[in-house]
Amino acid sequence: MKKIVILGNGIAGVQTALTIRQNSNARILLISEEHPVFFARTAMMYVFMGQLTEKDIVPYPEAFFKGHQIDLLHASISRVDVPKNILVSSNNQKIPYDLLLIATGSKPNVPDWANSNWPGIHHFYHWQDLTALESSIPASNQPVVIGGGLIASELVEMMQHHQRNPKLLVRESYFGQHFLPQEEGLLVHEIFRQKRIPLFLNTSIKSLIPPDKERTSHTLYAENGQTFSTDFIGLGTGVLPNIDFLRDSPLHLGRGILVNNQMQTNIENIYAAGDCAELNACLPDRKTIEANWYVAKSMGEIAGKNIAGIPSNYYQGIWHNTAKFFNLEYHLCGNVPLEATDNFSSYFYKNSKRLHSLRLAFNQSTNQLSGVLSMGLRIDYSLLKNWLEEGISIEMTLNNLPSLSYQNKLGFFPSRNLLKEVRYE
Amino acid sequence: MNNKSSIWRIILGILLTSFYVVIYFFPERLGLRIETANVGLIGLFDPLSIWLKKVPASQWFVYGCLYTFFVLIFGLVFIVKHRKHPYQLLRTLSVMFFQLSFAFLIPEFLQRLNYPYLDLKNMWPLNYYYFFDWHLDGLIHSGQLGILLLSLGLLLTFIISPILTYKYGKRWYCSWVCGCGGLAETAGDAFRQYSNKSSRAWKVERWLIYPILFIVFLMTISVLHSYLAHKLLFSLSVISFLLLFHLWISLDHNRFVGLPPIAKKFFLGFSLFTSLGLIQAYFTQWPPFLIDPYTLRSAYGFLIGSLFSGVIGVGFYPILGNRVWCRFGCPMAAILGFQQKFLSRFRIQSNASLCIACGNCSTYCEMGIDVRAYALAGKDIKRSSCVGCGICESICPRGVLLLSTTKGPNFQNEADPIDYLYAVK
Repeated sequence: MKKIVILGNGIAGVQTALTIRQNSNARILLISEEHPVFFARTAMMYVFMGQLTEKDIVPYPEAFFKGHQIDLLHASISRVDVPKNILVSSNNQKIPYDLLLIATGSKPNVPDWANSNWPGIHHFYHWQDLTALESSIPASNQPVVIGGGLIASELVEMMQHHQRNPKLLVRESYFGQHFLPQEEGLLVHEIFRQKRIPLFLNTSIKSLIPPDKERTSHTLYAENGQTFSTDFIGLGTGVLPNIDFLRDSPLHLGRGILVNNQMQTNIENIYAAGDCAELNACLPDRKTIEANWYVAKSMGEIAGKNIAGIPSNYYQGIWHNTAKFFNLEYHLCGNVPLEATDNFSSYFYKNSKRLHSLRLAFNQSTNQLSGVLSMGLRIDYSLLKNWLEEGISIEMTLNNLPSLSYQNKLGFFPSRNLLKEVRYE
Repeated sequence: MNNKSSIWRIILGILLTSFYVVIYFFPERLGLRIETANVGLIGLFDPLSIWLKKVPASQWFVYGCLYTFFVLIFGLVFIVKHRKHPYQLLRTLSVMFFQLSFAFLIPEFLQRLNYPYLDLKNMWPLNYYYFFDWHLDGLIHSGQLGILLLSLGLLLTFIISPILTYKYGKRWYCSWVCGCGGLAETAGDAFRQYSNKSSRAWKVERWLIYPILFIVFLMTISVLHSYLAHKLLFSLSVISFLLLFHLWISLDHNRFVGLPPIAKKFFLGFSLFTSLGLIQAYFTQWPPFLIDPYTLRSAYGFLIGSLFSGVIGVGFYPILGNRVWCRFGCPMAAILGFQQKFLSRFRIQSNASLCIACGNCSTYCEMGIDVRAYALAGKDIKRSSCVGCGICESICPRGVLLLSTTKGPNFQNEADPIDYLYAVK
């Protein structure tokens, strides 16, 4: 019987394991250095804030894996011996495999002025980061969070939970500039204002002086001349594929592990999925690395099928993503350009007081709906995906607007006359 | 921190339980006096009672006051906490209204006007005494208003309730109207995360709630049999009802595909037992089931009516969650739940492609439903126990869940959600 080893028990690895098990009786070993059992990484913030416990964010108990003959191993793997089909652990244990899936996810991106080993510099990605934050946030002084995305927003929320009054430093001219149009970004600013988070825009850090014998705090110097003195720096500056242990292997690496659309690497019996995988080809308006829970889950499904001997191709399909900034939900489905282009226009509604917005982007030459972005309003993704696949026109979308709502009828959803055609600002 | 909080929960549980034991069984300890004026806690409520209905307070009056007070106060707390969700707002206003008026003020006024003390929203079998001789006689001998109230109760139990449950699910009663639900949703809200989510607890739930329903049924038949003049007609009606019902669940395969075979056998056994009991009563001089109806009903009143629904039902909030009685005991919930599962449009829609497995829904489900297991697998949630409180929908950070009454599938096996949803071979 074939022995399948999966490296990494995040959503990509676990989805692969479950998909293999649905289709085959092969032996499966799931290895993780981070946590003995699969947990919902995206829910770590709730554990920090006491809303959930560690047990609550474990979707499948260990007994579930046991019941489905998926062996779990909590170990650190230091390298892959590709010619011998062996994984070597940090204590020199050798684990043979017939088929290997690498799903080691991401690691935090550290700006070149920072060093993760300095005290007071924190990330929020791995389980271990949570433990470190639990001990340092409540005692932190004038904490600073750097970044313009979800992790930065979550770090700020966690600190605010402990009344630490964090400052948020954003390099761009508004929060979320790389995934939000300006109007939506300003809505997030509004929620930061309500939560009394001081926001420093256009603040790009150029250097950092760490604490020494005389001073206990870090000093941050920004390009615009501002300085910040703090003993706590939370970094929400993005993630990179976690593949350093593969640098000397014969695997073809780009920024991530290069895979074809069957999630297979250049080595026949090695697959990769999730944040660490880089597609060797992608759709024109998409990226080759899309580090995101949903993408990892569907890649895991495809990898699992191929490993189980059912040929299947990964297709990027229609992009969707969700997030939550404090209590403001973000929902995106399809392609919504961030700024004005010749081809695109949008119908837009926004209410800054109630923290709602809805944007229907469409292609001006074909009049087809290209994507929907909503803040504070829930939309019916299943329906919307069908619409986008069928190439629905913007007119039809506007006429059927109420059916786009995925929320209780007592709740507010804008009617057609509230949406105005706007060029992007 | 966890140990500390569980100690507090146990202490609170013991305090609540003791209070219930005293008020139910030792009211004189709270100052109830028969011959002389009340003293102590009960004495404090005398002026209010005399003002409302011109008689001194009883322990039940005190209980009613405190109950209503807690529903109102914690109802306001709940509203502040969930003010952003119109569904939660309306639902809570509704339970507060029904508690204050229907459960408290109206019955007190009825009593003042020399009518029987009656909560107009009472329904059999939660109010198991509905068909007891004293209750029926009390209404019949209260003139036209009494007859009107009696007819209203029958109409509510047999016509209005099934229609509303078909359209909206059992929530119309359990989390919008019911007094037990009202206290659970307001004063009990802080304990909802302590409900047990294991499939074992689900099994215990089913093996308690349906037998209790059948005991109520037997007791009611036994009491009505001794009360009614046309005993043969009554017995034949009951036997035909059971026979028709049995034929229905055995023959309507499409509708009852989710009903486990053991449930059908259980119902058949129960029907035979009931029918034989009635036949025996016709041919012999002994009462049905050979038990004196008064013994049966006082045993039920003590064990289920007082101990289970009162003492354990509320006293165990901090230990087993705020819906102990609703989940494990309430015969009304059993009937409404059966209707909800097989004869209702209500369900919770889920969208697997958005779920991040955070577990907020499962953790905060007061009925112990592992909502996440369904959501991860993209299955609609159609569970008999769901009271439709909508917390899963409100708390979901990514807009995965939606309480829905549009036409949808009405199947689902009563198996472990994780295992059968994953359909691992």
